[in-house]
Amino acid sequence: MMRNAVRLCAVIAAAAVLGCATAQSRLIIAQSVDPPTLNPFDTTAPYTSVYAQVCEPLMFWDTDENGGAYIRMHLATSYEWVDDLTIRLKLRDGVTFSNGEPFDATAAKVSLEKLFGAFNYSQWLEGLLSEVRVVDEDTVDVVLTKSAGFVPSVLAMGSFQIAPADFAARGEDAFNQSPVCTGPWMVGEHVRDDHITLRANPNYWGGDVLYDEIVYRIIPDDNARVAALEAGEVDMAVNVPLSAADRIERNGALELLAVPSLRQFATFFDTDNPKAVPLLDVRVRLALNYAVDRAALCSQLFAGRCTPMAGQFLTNQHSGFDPDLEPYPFDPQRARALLAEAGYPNGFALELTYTAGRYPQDRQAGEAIAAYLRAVGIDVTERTVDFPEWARQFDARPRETTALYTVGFLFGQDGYLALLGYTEGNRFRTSVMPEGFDAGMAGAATATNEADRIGFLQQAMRAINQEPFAIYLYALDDLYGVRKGVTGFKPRGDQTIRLLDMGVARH
Amino acid sequence: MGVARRLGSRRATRVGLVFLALFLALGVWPTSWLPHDPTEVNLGLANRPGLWAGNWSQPLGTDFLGRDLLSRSVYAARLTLVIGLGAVTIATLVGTVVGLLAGYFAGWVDEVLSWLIDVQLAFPMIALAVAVIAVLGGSLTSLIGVLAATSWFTTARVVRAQVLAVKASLFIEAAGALGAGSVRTVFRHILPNVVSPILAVATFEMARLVLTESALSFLGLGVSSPQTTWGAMIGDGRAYVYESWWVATVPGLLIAALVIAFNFVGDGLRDAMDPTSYASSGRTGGGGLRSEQATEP
Repeated sequence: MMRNAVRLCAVIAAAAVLGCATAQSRLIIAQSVDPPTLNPFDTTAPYTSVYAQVCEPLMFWDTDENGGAYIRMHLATSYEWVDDLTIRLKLRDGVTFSNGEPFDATAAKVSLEKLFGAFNYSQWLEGLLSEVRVVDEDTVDVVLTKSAGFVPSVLAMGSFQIAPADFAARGEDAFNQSPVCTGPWMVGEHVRDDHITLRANPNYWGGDVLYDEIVYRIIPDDNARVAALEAGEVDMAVNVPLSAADRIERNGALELLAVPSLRQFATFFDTDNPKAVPLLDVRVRLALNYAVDRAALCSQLFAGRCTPMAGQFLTNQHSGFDPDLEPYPFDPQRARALLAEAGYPNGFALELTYTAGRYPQDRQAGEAIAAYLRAVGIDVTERTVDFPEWARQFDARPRETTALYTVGFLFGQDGYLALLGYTEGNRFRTSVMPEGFDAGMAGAATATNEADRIGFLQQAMRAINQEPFAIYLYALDDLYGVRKGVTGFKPRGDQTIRLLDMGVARH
Repeated sequence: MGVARRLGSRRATRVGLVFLALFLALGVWPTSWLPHDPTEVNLGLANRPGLWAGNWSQPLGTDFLGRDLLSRSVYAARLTLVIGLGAVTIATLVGTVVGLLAGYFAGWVDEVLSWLIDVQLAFPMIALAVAVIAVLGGSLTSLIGVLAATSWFTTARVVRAQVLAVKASLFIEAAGALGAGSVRTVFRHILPNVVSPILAVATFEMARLVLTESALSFLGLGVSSPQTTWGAMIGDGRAYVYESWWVATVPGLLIAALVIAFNFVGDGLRDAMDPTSYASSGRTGGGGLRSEQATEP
């Protein structure tokens, strides 16, 4: 009897130890989107959140202790401009892909050529690559067709390295489902719309991998995702809705992590719209910026988890942000005076479109902005649409958007890349972009010195501050719920998850 | 006993009538007496509780944009009623004409119209409404049109059944023998005999359409801001239901009261205009019209 009891205790103890060991080495993340592809050259944030644990880049955007954006070297140890057209990359020694292939200059050449040919990067890189030249085993030169100072920024977004022999053997489709790269984890199984399991790479070059498994549970519904976190079914939940934030903060077992997002919200002026004639006058565009109380929107509608845009179309997380510019003050009287000066003492009629269900509180914010504009005498007609309908209106030729529309864009940390769409000939360009903006952007395009690039971008910011092309609104915080005991998770403003720092103990 | 007297003899009907009168008054009277502008945004006052927390300035509290819920509820009453009454009027007119034609002419006319009714019945109505509004956009007219389209066949079926019964009466035969044409027979002799079930059905449909409108507005498919209805107000309050319960509860209670009032009045009307059903069903609420609807193929 006694012996049986001892055996039973031993079994229970062993089970408990094993259970703890398993629990400690598995991290379960709830996210809303199931990536149909793990192609590391696709830029969609929820896809990156999975493949970035498997595939590693030469360098990537990170934030310093002050929250500023900088490029952190990884599989490359350094980069330098050899001349105006050539970037020299020094590669890390002793790195192998998870299938044993060596990572060297020949492998890097394959991956870099893929990046320059990738559809998702074509808006920045199309036609820019002359050749990738192997200098020696650990050095490659990226030779460009024309001067483009922003290329290192793009490399920091997507210079993921793939195993060339495996890619050639299995073909693109199979590779995109389970890419073989150098990362701490490898793709295990993928059950569509249910979960993706990553397993530790036993031969990882960079240190000891702390989690045997990373499991992504796919839970599209916001409330269900938070409920799974509260029930202890997952260790981490992304895209926590604002309405659940307080509940998570009050929960002793959970922690709420917030990070200012790089998504830039604005109510844009479609000045090409024939109904938007009043917006061609810069006084009207300034008046609209004075009419909206961004601070109140942030503090009331978003419970303070929001930062008003500082009179420019970059957040303070972007490179090129001008810290000397201030948010436009909320000044309805000044707005009325400017409208009167512009010849509209009794206002005018405009249509405003905003999305419902695409961004946090988007419909409520739309209603509030409409009310602010009405308060200074503008007769606003509101149109509520879902995001695909807005995108259809925007992409239709001729464009079908209303004179004003509120959306949020996320283009990464580099201020130049975030603003490139507004330069001549690009997708978001309107007729009211000021000359100073174009001059600043042209300077930033070719400058290879980072300080010069930032100077040019700040010049562009001052221009669009004096002559706004939108009502610059706010940047929201992204919220993550994490179980206490899961340490080291650092949320990123670009809405991707990178577990390198929390999941690997460096040698 | 006259219809009006029979109507007034039921306590529930009296309560329903009082509520309806109150809601109609709210909808018709100008909104200038309201304590606040129903569309005025004041984010500093967002999600304030009302009287129960000692707030006399906004007795029913405020919503997420700091708008006064009392003013907003009264403002929304008008649109809720306009949409409901507009849709029910169109549905009743269309349904009555279709029912009269199908019941009176029988033969292929009846077959075609009954087939149309069956097709509409087989269609999931909310899905139809969502699809139509998604295409036309959420405006007052499209909402009224869509709601009418989801309702006319109820009236049509009841009218058709009544016409079939009335048509077999001796006095219709007599009218025909005296040389009355189809138009005269239908509008002079049959229609007056089917008016009471039409009224009762219209009242029940009004209650149902207010609920459907609320559902559509709740889904964001109703009228555009700054216009609002009670359903849209519930939709607004959904995200705040844990922290600021009153934002969704106030319009929710109003919808419940309006629907119950219409149902009470509908019950009363049905019984008052149909003494047989009143006698047979007593005050239990079952009876004539409902069982008729249930047995109609």
